[in-house]
Amino acid sequence: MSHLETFLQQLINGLTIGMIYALIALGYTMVYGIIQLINFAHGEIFITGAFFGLAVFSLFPSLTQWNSVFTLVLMFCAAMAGCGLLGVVIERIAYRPLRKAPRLACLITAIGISFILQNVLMLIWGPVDKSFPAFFKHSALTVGALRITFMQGFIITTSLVMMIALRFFVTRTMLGKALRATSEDMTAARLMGINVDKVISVCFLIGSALGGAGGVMYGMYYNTISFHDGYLVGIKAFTAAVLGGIGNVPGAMLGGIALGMLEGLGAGYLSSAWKNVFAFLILVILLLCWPSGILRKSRNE
Amino acid sequence: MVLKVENLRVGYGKIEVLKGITLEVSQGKITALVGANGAGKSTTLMAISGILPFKEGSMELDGRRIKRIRPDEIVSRGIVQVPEGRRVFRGLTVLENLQLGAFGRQKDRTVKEDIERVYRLFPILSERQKQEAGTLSGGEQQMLAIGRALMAKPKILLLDEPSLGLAPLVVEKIFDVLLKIQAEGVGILLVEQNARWALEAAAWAYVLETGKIVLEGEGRKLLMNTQVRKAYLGE
Ligand SMILES: Nc1ncnc2c1ncn2[C@@H]1O[C@H](COP(=O)(O)OP(=O)(O)O)[C@@H](O)[C@H]1O
Ligand SMILES: [Mg+2]
Repeated sequence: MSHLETFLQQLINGLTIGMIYALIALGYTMVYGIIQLINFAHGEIFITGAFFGLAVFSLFPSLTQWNSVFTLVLMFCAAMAGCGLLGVVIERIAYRPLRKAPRLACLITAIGISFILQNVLMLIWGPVDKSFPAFFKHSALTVGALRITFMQGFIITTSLVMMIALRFFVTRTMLGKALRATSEDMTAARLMGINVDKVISVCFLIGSALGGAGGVMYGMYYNTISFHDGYLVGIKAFTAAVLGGIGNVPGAMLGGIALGMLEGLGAGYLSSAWKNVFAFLILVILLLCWPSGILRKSRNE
Repeated sequence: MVLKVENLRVGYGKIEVLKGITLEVSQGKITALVGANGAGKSTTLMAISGILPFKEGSMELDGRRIKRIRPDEIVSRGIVQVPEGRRVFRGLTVLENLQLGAFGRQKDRTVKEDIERVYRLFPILSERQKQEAGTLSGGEQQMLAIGRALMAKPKILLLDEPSLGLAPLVVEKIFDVLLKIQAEGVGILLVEQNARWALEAAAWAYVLETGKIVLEGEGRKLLMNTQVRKAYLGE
C-alpha cells in the first residue's frame, strides 16, 4: 500500500464509523436544542437499538436463510421503532415532569435513566459480549489496494439517506419548522398554537430512532455488542455533537464525520489502542477552550 | 366574540403579580391596557394566552367559561398574542414564520391567500420572504410578528407593546394597520406604555397599577384625566 492509499483507507474506515457517530450525535443535539438537556440516556438508547436488531435476528432464525437485505430492513425497522418509542416514553415519564425544575435535576435524572437502561440490558441479554451477525462483509469493492466492503458502503449510504431525510423533514415540513421554532423560542412557539409537548415527543422519537439505527450499524461494523457499549460510544457521539456546536443539526453530522475520521487516522497511524483517547482528548480540549462559546451558542438556539 | 376575564390572580412562585383583574375585550373594538413598567401588563396577556396559570379567577368566551386550556387551544379559539419584544423565529425565514402562524390550521386551503393578505398589509415582508427573520429591522420584525399572529385568524388579537423601540414613522405605519385590522372585525387588546395613541384609539381602556386596575373608561375620556396625563403622558 502506498502512503496515499493507507491514508484513504483509514479515511474510509473513519468515515464509516463517523457516520454512525453522526447519527447518534443528532439525537443529543436535537434534544439539547429543544429542551437544553444533555440526554445522558441517549447512549443507552443507541445500544438498545443494536439489541433490538439482534433480537429480531435471533427471534426468527429462519430469517437468516432469507435475503439478507430483507433481514436487515426488518432489524432496522425494529431498532428504529423500538428506540423511537423508548425515547418518547423516557421523555414522557422522566423528563416532562421536570420541565420546570432546575437543569441539574434533569441532568441527574438522565444519568439515572442511563444506569437503569444499562442494567435492564444486562439483565435481559447478560453481561457478556453478544456476537452480532455480519452483513455484506466479505464482498468488497477494491480500487488498487483500497477496499470498501459492501457493509461500509451500506452504512455510509444508509446514514446519508437518513440525514437527508432528516434535513428534508426539518426544513420542508410544517412539523419540522415547528421543531425549529420550538428550539428557538418555546414560549413564542406556544403562542403560535404549536403544541410543544407533541413537538418535543417528535424530537425524541426521531433522535432516538436515528440512534437505534446507529446501534444496528454499530453491531454490523464491530460484530459484537455489549450492554456497556452505549456509554463509551455515547460519549464519543456527544463529543461529536459538541464539536459541531451542540444544538446545531448540520454541525452534529459534520462533527460525527470529523471525529470518526480523526479516530480512523489515529488508529491507522498511531495505534488502535489509542483511538478512544482521541474523542476524550477532543472533548476535554473543547470544554476547556470554548466552554462559554458552546454555552452561548446553545442559549441562542 | 367577547373575552371576559374576571378577578384574575396570577403570580410567579409566591410573588403575586396580578391581584384580581377584571376586563373585557370585544371583537371589532380596540381595548387598551396601559400602565407603568412592571405593572403586570405582560403577565395579564400571558395568563390569557394560557402560558401562565391562573391562581384564581376565570375567563369567559361569549359567556362560556373556559378553564385550564392549553395555549394551542386558546389560539384555535381565536385569541392570539403578539408578544412583547416581537419574538419572531429569527433563524426561520419570513415565509416560514408566517406559515407557523397558521400552524393550527395547516389543512386549511386559505393559508396561501392569507399569506398574500399579510403581504398586502406589509409589502416589505413580501420582498423579504426568503430572508431569515433575524436579519430584519426592528420595525420589520414587529410587522412580521403581527402578520404571523394574523395567520392564525384571530378574533381577538393581544398586542404587547408593539411600538416599543421603534421609530415614530414605523409606529405610525403599524398603528395604521392595526386600525385596518380592527375595521375588519378583529378585537384588539392593546398594551402600551406609550399610552397616547392607545387611549385615542381605544373604545375602552384600563389603567393597571401594580397588579390592580385603578381606572377604566372610554379611551378619550381617560386621555383628559389629569391623573392619567401626569402618570402616562408625561405632563
Ligand atoms: N418570570 C418572572 N418571574 C418572576 N417575576 C416576574 C417574571 N416576569 C415578570 N415578573 C414580575 O412581575 C411584575 C410584572 O411584570 P410584567 O407583567 O412583565 O409587567 P409589564 O408588562 O407591565 O411591564 C414585575 O414586577 C416583574 O418583575
Ligand atoms: Mg411588559
